[in-house]
Amino acid sequence: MKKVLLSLVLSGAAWAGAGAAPVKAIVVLGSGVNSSQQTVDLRGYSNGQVWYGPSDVSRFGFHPRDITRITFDTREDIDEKLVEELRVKRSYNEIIAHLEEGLAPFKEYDFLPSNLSSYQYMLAELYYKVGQYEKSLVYSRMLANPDRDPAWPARCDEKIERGAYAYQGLALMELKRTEEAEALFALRGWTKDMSDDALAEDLYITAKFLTMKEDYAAAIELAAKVVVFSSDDPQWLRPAEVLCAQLYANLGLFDSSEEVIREILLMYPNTDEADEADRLMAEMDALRDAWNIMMEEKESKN
Amino acid sequence: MRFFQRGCIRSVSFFVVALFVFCGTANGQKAPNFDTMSVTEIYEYARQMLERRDYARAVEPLQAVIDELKALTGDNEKQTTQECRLELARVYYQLGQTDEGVALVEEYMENDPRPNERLALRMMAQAFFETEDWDKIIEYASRIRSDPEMTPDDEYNMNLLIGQAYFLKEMWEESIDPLLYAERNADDDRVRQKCQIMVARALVETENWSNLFAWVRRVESSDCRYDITLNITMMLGAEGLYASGGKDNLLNALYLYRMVLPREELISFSEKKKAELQRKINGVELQPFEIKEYEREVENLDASIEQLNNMDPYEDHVDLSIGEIYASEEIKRYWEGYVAFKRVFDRCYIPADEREEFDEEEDEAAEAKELKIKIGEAGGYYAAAALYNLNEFDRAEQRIMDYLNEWNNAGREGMFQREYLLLMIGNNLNRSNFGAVISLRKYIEGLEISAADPNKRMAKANLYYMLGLAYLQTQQNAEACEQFGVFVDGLCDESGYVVEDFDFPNRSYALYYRGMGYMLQGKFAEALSDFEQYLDEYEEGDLVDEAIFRKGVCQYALSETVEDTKGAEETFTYLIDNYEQSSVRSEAYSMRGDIRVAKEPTEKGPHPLDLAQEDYDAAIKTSNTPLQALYPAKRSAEAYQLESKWDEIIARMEQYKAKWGVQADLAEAQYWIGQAYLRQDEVEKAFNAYMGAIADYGNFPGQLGVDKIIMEMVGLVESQKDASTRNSWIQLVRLKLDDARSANMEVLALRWQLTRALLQGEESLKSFSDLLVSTVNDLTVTSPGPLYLMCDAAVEAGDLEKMTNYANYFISNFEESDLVWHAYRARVTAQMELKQYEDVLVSVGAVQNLFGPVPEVGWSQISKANALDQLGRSQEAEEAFKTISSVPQWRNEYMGEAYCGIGRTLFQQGEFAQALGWYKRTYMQCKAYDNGIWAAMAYLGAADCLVEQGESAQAQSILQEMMADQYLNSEERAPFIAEYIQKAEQRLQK
Repeated sequence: MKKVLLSLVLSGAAWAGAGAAPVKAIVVLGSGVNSSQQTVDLRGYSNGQVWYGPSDVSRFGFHPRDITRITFDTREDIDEKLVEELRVKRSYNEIIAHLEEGLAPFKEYDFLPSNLSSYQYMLAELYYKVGQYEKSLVYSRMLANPDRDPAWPARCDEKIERGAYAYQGLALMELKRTEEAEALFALRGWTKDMSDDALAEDLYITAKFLTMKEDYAAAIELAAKVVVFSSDDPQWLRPAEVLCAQLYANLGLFDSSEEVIREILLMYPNTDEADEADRLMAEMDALRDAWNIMMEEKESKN
Repeated sequence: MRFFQRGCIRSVSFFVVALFVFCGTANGQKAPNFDTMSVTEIYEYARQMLERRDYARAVEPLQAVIDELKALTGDNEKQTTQECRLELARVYYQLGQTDEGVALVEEYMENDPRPNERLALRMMAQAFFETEDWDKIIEYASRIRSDPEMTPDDEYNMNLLIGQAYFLKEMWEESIDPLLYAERNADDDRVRQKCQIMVARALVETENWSNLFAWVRRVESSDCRYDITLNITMMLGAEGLYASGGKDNLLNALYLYRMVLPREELISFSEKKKAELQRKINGVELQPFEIKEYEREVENLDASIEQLNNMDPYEDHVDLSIGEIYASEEIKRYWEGYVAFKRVFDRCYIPADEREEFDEEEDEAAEAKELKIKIGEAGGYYAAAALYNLNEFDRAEQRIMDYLNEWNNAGREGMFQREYLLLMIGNNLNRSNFGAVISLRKYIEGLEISAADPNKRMAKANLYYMLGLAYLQTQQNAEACEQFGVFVDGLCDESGYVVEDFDFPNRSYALYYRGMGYMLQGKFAEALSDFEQYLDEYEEGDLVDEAIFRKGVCQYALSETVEDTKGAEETFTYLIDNYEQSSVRSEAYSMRGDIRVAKEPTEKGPHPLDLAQEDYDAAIKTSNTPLQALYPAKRSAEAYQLESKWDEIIARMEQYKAKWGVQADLAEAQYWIGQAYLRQDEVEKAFNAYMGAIADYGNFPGQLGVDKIIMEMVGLVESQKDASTRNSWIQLVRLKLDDARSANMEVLALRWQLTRALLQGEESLKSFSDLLVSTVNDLTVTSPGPLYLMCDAAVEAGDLEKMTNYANYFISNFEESDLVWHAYRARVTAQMELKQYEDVLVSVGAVQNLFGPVPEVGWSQISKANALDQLGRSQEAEEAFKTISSVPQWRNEYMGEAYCGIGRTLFQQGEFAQALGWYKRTYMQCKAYDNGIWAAMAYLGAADCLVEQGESAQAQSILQEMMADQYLNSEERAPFIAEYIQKAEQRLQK
């Protein structure tokens, strides 16, 4: 194992972050049998070092590359129960405000692998839900950055990283940053043929991508796979159902679209997806008329 | 099944403390001699043993205390005795000696005081779990629950007990509330999870679907979804619901199926759980009852795993069912259906070339494999069906053709071959893709009749029937009759024996349509026989009135004299009198009118024309469509024309216009009105009537008579001898064109432009055609007049895309137009270029059916012959070429190509002598045709024939003759036949 670099810094040296309140944390260094763990007062990040120690003048540094995981005590800053309650009420802006405030004391360390990643992921998701795609991107990139130095430990577990990439792709598409989206798709291999066993988020995001490209039939085939094969994954199942409803309408299969909407309203009442389904249902007559006009025009051209 | 109860220890602790008041201390590990000890000392010893959880050693001292004190009557002694009884009972429970424990609790309940009565009752209830006496549990637990002083712990424990008891008694409804209470209040995850599973199962069993789905959403993150029994229950519940049908049941079945986890996942989870329990059992400091409890759980898990292992593989079946539900008519989520079916197919289908090995196996594994194959086959078939519902026709047909070819190449019939054919043929029939249907004929013919399997036999008969319909629709009437005839006269098996028990439901239709097929071939006698047979055999058939009508038509066609038409007249009269609601009654009136109009006045019938006019009048009145009325209106006008009754013509046309309003062919009516004026020499009135009709109806593309009027009016203007009148009329056309343009009446403007171009001559017409092709992209502004020019221009330019687009639009919108043959010519030209020969046959059939052997469609017969030739059907091609030479309207224009074609097709059949004859006729009789191309080709063909006959020298002389042919080698024709001359030269050099 790589020897953990600990450096003692003499008092009086120039360093940034002096004066910030120390943050108690459990730091895990290294991995496997050679890993070690220590509870420390973190004193900021500067000059490529994460500083810790009894005071700002007598302190030691970790190189971030050596930190496998940090566990912060967030109990006083983030009220999990409140977050859960607000989620049930779908008060997303309030959750965002609460999390932003709660994460503020740890901001200096938000690029490190830590137990903050689940909150950061939540923020990527929630900012996406409320339509603040730029901010969603900030958080998703914090967790999943294709330019990350592979020598550094992963920022979060694989599941969160996958989800973060998915929100990155979704946000880029919403922002119409097509080139960046396409580059990300190529990097993640999302544009390749999707088998039945592909992960729900991969199927879903590729379906969204194909929708953006107006290849509706290919898109709905993937969204349908999420519905049929990932019915135990509510995070992607529900949006996939909504996407199916939308795509059926785009393909002129309005009866099918209405049926999907009815099922969404039945199965997922009081959810964002039910709201979206309601909105789509309200547009259905207009969509149908537009489709009929389009078909008439097409027929006349033929 | 038994569960820990919360609060038990707390009660016992209290009891232990109470004893301590008068207990001493027990010393050493060895059991003391209780006979020499005081009660207090024995008590103290028991307390110590309990504190150490050494239950086995606590039995004797506790029993000793009870024995010492039970006969005493003091309050303290009584109380201590009772408490010792309860404690000893608890000890027995801990040691797994429940019977002894129960006896002590019963003793406790029979004596006083009973300060811990609720605990005693609870212990009784729990004990009944051992004996599986659910009624007793319910009885005891209910007594505790009704106690107003019941503690929260009691309430929790009793709900847990009652819930379980009801559950085990399979009183599902009753079990739900107590189990829900226990689940909400459990602080032990294991208990909570068990409760979740039981609630889910009870909700399935009570078919309480909405609550079940809400429940599953609530607990979906817990391990309860891995419970094997619950999964099996959900699956069985889903199967029941699916079988019941109806949308709600289907949806509920779908949600249940979707929750079922794969076998491997369930087994793996249960194995892990078993290992965990096993670790606990092997661990330290477990009480016997705990060990027993864990062992029981392991046993249950083993039983579930075994049950699961004994089941047939269900994942594929579940996926198939999910697909079927999604793709059902009620749900219509075909994409979801498709992906489920495709997965089943990908997982289970075994290709034809790997199937042999399996067929030879005869063991259990083979049975399982067979089931898997069936599911895979069904998956593939349903996937194709779903794709059709999604309008993904190419993908559907790719799958089907892959399957058909795979089994065709293997020389066997695939399990779903007939179903695939029915699917593809049915779908193409609905989409009027008759060529595609016909192209599948070889696959149908390859199927056995399968006398042993009625379903397969029925499928084959249906395929013949549908094939017959496709031939009928494409006017390939002889083939249609052949297909219908396969089972109309009795379905034969492979050896030619009639399958006697075969009763094909569509036979009546097949009989009728075969009659139609004969009729359309002009085989009226055969057609009449079929219609009469239909009427004899199917008195209540759906097509009785139509069969009567067709019978009349055949009788009429078979009549050689007016007198012979009596039978037909009677048949039409019978239909008119007896089928008032018939859709063909109007046509029967028209036909009877036609019969009467041809009659001479007699004594019995002095006014046949009047009677005919009455019939035409009735035909218009009873017409169901504008077209049904147009025919008698025109026939009536023609009849009146014979009697020069011009006002009556005008009145008849007005009647027709009034009956159908804007739906009528108003321009056609105006045409006749104009004609009536012309016959009365009221040229000005006629001109005005035509101009009025064009102006009023010309902006409606579907008013086909406008185009006819335009042609008529152009003739009228050109025949006007008075130059100033003619010029003023031409000027009027220009003004009308300006009006139409300023009013943005695009369709009308194009029609006026056409009129103007026709009046200005050929050059102007050519410029107008070019203008149309280069500027008109939106075909909705066109009508048959401009469109025919566009079709012709596209053909001349060789623009395949435009040929196809214009033709498709024309044919689908104006099939009734007299000019539609231009569109068919464009379509056929494109199809020939694209080598779509089957489609050419379909198009030719359609145009010939519309127009018959008129000069305008001679090209169609040439195309048909050439397409047959390209398809390798030389004999049929030869016949088709010969038809040209036998039809006077075609012969003149196409004789050269036809003779040469006959020669070529005979050559292909190896009939060199005959071919030579036809080639000779070509270059001798048809030199002038098409700049001598056919003659040149015929010279070369003749030389080939001679070479084949071993007459090389003569072949040489034929070629020399060709080179010397002054007509062919003239300056005028040289550019057209240069390549043939070159070929001849090359051959001569050899």
